[in-house]
Amino acid sequence: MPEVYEYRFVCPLPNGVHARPANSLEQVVAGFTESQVWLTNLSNQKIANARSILSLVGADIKAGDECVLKVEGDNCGPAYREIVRFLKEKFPSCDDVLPPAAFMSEVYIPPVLRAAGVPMIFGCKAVSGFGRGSVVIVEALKLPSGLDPRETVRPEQELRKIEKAVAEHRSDITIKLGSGRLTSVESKVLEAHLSIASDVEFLDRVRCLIRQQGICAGQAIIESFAYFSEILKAAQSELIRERIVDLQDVCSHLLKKIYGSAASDQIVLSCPSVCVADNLTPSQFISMDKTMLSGLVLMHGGNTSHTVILARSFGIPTVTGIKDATILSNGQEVVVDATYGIVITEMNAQAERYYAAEHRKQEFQQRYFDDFLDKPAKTVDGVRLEVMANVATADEVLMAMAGGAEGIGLFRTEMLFMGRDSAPSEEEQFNEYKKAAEYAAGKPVIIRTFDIGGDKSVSYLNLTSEDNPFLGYRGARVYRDYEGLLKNQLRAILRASAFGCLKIMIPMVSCLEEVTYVRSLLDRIKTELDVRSLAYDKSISLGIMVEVPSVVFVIPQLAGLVDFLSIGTNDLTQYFLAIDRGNERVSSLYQSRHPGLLGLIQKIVEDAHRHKLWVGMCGEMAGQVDHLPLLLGAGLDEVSVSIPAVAAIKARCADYDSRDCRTIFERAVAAKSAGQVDMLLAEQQREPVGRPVIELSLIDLDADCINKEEAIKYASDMLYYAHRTEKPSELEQHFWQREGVYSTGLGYGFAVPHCKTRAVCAHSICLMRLKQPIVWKSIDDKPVDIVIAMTIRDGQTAGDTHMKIFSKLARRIMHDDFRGMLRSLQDRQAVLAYLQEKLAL
Amino acid sequence: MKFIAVTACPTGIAHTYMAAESLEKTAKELGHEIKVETQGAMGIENELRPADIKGADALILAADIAIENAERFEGIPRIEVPVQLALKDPKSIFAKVPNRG
Repeated sequence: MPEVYEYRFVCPLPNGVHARPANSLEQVVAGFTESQVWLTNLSNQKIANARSILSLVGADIKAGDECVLKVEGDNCGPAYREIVRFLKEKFPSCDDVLPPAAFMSEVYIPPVLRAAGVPMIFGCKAVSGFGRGSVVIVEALKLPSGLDPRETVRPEQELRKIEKAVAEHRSDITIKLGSGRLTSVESKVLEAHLSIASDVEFLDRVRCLIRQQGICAGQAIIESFAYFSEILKAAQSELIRERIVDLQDVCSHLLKKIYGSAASDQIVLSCPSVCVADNLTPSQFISMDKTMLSGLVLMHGGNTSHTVILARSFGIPTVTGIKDATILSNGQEVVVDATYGIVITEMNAQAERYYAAEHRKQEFQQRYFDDFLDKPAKTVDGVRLEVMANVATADEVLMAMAGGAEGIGLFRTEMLFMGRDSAPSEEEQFNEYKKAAEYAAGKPVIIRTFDIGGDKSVSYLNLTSEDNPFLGYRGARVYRDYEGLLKNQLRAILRASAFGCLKIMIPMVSCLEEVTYVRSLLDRIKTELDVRSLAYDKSISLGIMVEVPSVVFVIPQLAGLVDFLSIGTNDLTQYFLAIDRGNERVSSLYQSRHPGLLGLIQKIVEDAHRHKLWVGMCGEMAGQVDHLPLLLGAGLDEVSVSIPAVAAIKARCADYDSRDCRTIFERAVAAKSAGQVDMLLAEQQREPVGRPVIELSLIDLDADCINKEEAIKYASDMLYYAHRTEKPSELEQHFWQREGVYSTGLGYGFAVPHCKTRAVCAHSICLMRLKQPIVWKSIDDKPVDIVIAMTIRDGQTAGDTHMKIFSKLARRIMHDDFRGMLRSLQDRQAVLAYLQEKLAL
Repeated sequence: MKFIAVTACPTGIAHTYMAAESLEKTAKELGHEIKVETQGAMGIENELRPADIKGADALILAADIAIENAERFEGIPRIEVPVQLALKDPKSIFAKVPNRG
């Protein structure tokens, strides 16, 4: 006799029944194969099969929802009792506290945008800048191109493919779970994946689709994914919606198991677009028309992923780590603002005004940089620093030249080798390098021989996966085993060297033997080319990357073997500091300004110069404008940076005196911490001598601001246009910090926002008369129509005569006649003359 | 009456001096004598000397932060107000009854 038992309970879980608790319940139920177990959510009447996580999650059970458990079957009493016992005793505590979504609260949104109240989603800043376009969702789940899902399908064969893929994927997860290296949260997530991969309802649906509709295994997976993600999307709990990502992850693994990574990589953009993807491969990125790409939104992909590095090179604003990208839909118009790590999903008039102002600022900056495009970078005292660009394709060389690069300091060739089924031929490589040489038009192009392994894997080399790939089989270490591949590449570079100025650079060198080996190979190929009477640059330079700390101590021995060195700071930093840059737990210790690392760089440059070796730097560290005094102080011959950073670095060189930089660098090497180095860098920015506190460009008698947020931004931007701050956003934040103490609305229609900050290079006063009065929260509750912003350059106030002007101004403002004049004077010249007279400037 | 005053605000850029000016202006209107010390970004200015303190009837403390050398004023009757009151309604400050210091 079939029995039926029912048990009513209230969901005790604060986050509702999401995948992890569902997984626990499913595991208990799985022990009783003879019974049918159903869970009904009385609040929405959804009925779930308790054997299916997806079904349980889909019932959208939130905290406090009343539910009914129903157990049916022959002799199902024991099952019923056991499940109820679980629900009573263990279920309430089977949801761990989730890691806090820290990035949400910590994120800084410019006050103008906050006041605009536009809806936005949050992520991490990867490549700063902003762009607007229609959303193009790059589907994670795709069949290999050319595969017709309905053609000649033999259901039994397709079913076997599914069973095999599921079994393999499950065993992969089980191995990972058993590795003992996972955090408890990671383990829970993987356990949930494991259950999804064997979820009865999911697999039933896949099998059913194959049998009834005669579609192939892959298509059945994609359609099942679509079906269940629709159910999950409808859930009110955000946690449940997030499980779509888990499901997608499982499905994409299954597809890979069945078809390999042969899915199509071509992405076609037909209008200004914002690409949204779970994770974009470098080859997908390369396939896109960059003139149509306004921004990238990636759910995964850290700061150092290769797609992000490419995006930086192209200056594509990129936000990563977006959790709720599922709310974006194809064709929707969005703004990606990677400067703050946000995506605005719907614009309004106020936000439009904000971006119009930002756009003007960007154009202004571009015009300023344009002056430096054709000039060599030089410090005030005439010391040269070659500024070159990092690229990965020949086409980028052209962009780099247009962007003011004095050469290519790093041509990464891995891109030619990745994302394909076989190595590129010598001819293919020759054409690419020849094009690079020609585009550079005589300027040097440093071509790095392939650096594969580590985080860059290539299927046709059959490299096995390693526990510690960064310390493993990669870079120059693989060359002897793949000599044919290296010879092809060297031959291609040599032949292309006849068309311009090419140099060869070896990656990941840790000992001299690796260099002598490549050198001798190169000599053999030269002889071979001589025999064939093929032209090449007979004095082609050979250099190495300085990435492994051990080579730092053999520079004298390297002197006869190589012509130049280039410091690869990304790997050098992680090897020297023993920090995995991809590991979030220790990433805060990955400090480019660690005094020990700076000391190491000092040694590299000094030893190189002592032995007449040219030495450059091509890591991320070189591209950060704030580091420039350190790089100039270290005495580097060259920096190689992303294309958009070239002009900025060149422009900034002109602000520094190399002798001051040397002093700063020496003090930084002797500093106690990276924090202290930061302080040194902040201090060195000296006040330009004789800069007046107020000048015409700091007076605007017709300022168009509709609220306090805009007015403070306007003042900050005025100081930017007057070259008194390079960080208007930081300055704006300092104004707001002061406003946070109490409002600076003074009454009489006046407001005096002010701050003391290192974000300005000189004490400054700016005066704005507003087109329309705005609310400021003033002492007399009256609207404000005159804003006098006062900024004091922090760190040099004691005994400063300029400071008297501020106190004089503050005192004058208390007088009716002074305020009256500021309100009535006709033009900027008159206001300036009046202020000069009254403040005795 | 003979007043002495100290003004000090969080950044010491604007309100310290605006309050000082306002107190001086208002005292004059009301026919009081006053000497105002400012403790701002430039440090202490127009410092109150022992002679100033000794001869004063009351001290006005218009400060949002702890002032420096407060021990100088022990025993002087005082009126403590936020800086902003010196801008908003300075007259009311002079109308207050000082607390025993």
